[in-house]
Amino acid sequence: MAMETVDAVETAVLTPATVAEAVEQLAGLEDEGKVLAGGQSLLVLYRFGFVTPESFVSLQNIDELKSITPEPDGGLRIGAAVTQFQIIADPAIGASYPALVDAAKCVSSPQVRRRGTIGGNLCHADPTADPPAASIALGASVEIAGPEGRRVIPVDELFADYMETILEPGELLTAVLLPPPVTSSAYVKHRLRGIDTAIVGVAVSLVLSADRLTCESAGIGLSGAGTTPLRASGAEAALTGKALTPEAWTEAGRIAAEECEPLDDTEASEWYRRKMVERFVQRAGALAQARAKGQEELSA
Amino acid sequence: MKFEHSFTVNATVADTWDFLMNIPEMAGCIPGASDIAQVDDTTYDANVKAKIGPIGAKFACRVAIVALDPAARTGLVELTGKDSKLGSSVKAKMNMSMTEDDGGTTVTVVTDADVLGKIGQYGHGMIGKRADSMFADFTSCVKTQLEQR
Repeated sequence: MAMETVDAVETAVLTPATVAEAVEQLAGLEDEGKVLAGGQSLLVLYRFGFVTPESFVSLQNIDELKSITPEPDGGLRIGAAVTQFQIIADPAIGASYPALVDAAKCVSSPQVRRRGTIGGNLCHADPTADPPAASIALGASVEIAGPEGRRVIPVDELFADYMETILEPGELLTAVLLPPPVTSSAYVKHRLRGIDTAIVGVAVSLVLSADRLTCESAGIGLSGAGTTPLRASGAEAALTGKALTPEAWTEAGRIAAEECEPLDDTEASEWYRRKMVERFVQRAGALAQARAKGQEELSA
Repeated sequence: MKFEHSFTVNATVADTWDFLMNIPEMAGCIPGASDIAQVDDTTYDANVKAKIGPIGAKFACRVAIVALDPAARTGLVELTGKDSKLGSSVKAKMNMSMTEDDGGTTVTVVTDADVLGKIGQYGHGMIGKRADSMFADFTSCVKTQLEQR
């Protein structure tokens, strides 16, 4: 069913050149400003009249936000305005954080991936989006700039409620900070059509022992499993210190399905989503493990 | 969509009934409600704000008390609301009943609601969860009001 759209609304587009300038403009606009970081989700809401900001603050002229740079600790800093396409094409991310590339590849259509950004995706806080689950599993943090300076929080803490973040007016997400790479990771998504958001999506990251048999630690991020993107911490704990047998993955899937709280909507029922969380934890785990083996063969 | 909510309050059935039947007082506990005006003996108008993610809706609502049985402590209320800016509307029938429960009172509300238009389409999955959280806020407010008497 087609929705009625808004034809003519006067909204200014501000184009600051620095983060400091953007923060100042956002702070001045209070609740009446919206960050335009690609606009692939926001402009849909705008067109339907769901959001009616006085001004958009566009990130397109802020170069600092567009780069991917190594961090001194061996991690990676991804600027908030880096597009999904850049993430897919970046060899360093592909080699060290494959779950993030899997997730970026799952985002909507090629056109959207060319313009849509990692920061925009995270701040849209759609519980069925893909990059949030991968970011959670990989243990990412986000850097937030505000009138008081910059702060860093775990990405899990960014999501406040359904499509709501903890960002205050005047605050801007400036970067996603990835910790040093884990042994392996993967994101697997369940959807009916290619461009759909996830019915359920599961990201798994693994730190394995030297013999590749035991899980030293695991990260599991879920999409489509609650009002926000979620971490399946019970399932993570169940895998820690265990041999990664099919039984261990079955158990982790069962725990994840129990600890999540999926929405019940026209896309899928809560019951179905739980079942799919259970299955897709196993699938994402199997893919991450297979990748770990592949890496071992390459290095041998 | 059908919802069933209930809560138990540490007050007598008679006090709980009186509180909930005092519409202006009761409406003060409805999250986001404002501008409550009595139209006639059984009809009231109010504005109700609700937020689903980035979408803020403001429904102009008319509430009609269709049936009331003070002896049986049951009531049927019909609500219609419209947000013309967002092209969305809500229609709901609420059946309320209350029973004595170990000195306190258990109130049960069974709601049959239709949310139509853009909000119904976009926020469908969230409406049930938002109804739960609004009812929880309503409940804690009613409890505070009644139990502090």
